[in-house]
Amino acid sequence: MKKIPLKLCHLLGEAKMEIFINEKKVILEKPMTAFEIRDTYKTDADVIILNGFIINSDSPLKANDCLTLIKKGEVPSHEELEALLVARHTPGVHDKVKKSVVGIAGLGGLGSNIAVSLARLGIGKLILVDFDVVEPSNLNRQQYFISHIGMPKTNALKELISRINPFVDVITINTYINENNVDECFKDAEIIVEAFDNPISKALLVNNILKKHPEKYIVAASGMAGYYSSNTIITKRRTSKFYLIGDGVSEAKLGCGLMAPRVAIAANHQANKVLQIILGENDL
Amino acid sequence: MQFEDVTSITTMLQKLGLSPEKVVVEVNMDIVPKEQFDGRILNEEDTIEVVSFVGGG
Repeated sequence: MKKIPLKLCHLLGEAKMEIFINEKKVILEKPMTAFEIRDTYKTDADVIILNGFIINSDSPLKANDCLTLIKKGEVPSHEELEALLVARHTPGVHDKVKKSVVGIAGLGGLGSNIAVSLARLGIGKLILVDFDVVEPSNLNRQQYFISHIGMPKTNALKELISRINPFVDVITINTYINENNVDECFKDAEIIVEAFDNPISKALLVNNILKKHPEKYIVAASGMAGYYSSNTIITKRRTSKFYLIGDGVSEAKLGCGLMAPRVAIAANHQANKVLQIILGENDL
Repeated sequence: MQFEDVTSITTMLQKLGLSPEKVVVEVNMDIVPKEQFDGRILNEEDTIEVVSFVGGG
């Protein structure tokens, strides 16, 4: 994209005009139309959005107009995507998020949803650990697609994330986590998300982190089955670095299974807590 | 919570109907590993926190 250089305006009485092109502020020296901007900045754009609406015919631009020029299916450059994230979250926030390393233990209903939310945020690095394979029954709550059925969840999620935000560094470990390998799996993670479905594994991981890695944060979950009230899924701080999300009681069982809405609510409680920890707002 | 006899963590969990494999137990801000549940006797002034996990995720 070419930049219009800032020059003193020599034209008779015509004021400079500020507009936004793909969320970047640009000062125009003279009035221009949407199509003229397209021809200057991105001739291959096939979708033009002016102030939130797709336009098919040319339109003169006014001060503070927001113009978005898109070529369908084009992968944004790292710089472009980063600029968009910074515009949303402020540079200070994005800077911290992109330096963070988060481990996710379990890539099912909780883990896949958490990974997607963190990837969308622009997390720096994810360490994704699971031994499981995508099955049709997973699709009722996990972020996978039909094209992923039969794939190891590690591979499927890595592929999915690459189609959302290709600049997240995704490390995958296809293994069943136990006491012998948990230290090695998450050694680089500052924050670990417990996203298992087996309560014994949950207890094992949390006990291990609290006892052997008290410098790390652990964000765990317990109780999110069914379609009970959304409002009973809460985030509770248990110790200085141990947070527990869920309603604490709704166990997944026959007749009261895991369903997308409540699982995703719990997962995003976890993702939001991870974000708060990254930003130093542990008590929210 | 009041107990009649000398109580270990194991006994306390039994009385609460909780499985030792599915809990995190903290006594006076210190995490007690599962291997110590039998041997750790609770005292009157102890502050105990128990998190019991349920399945699903």
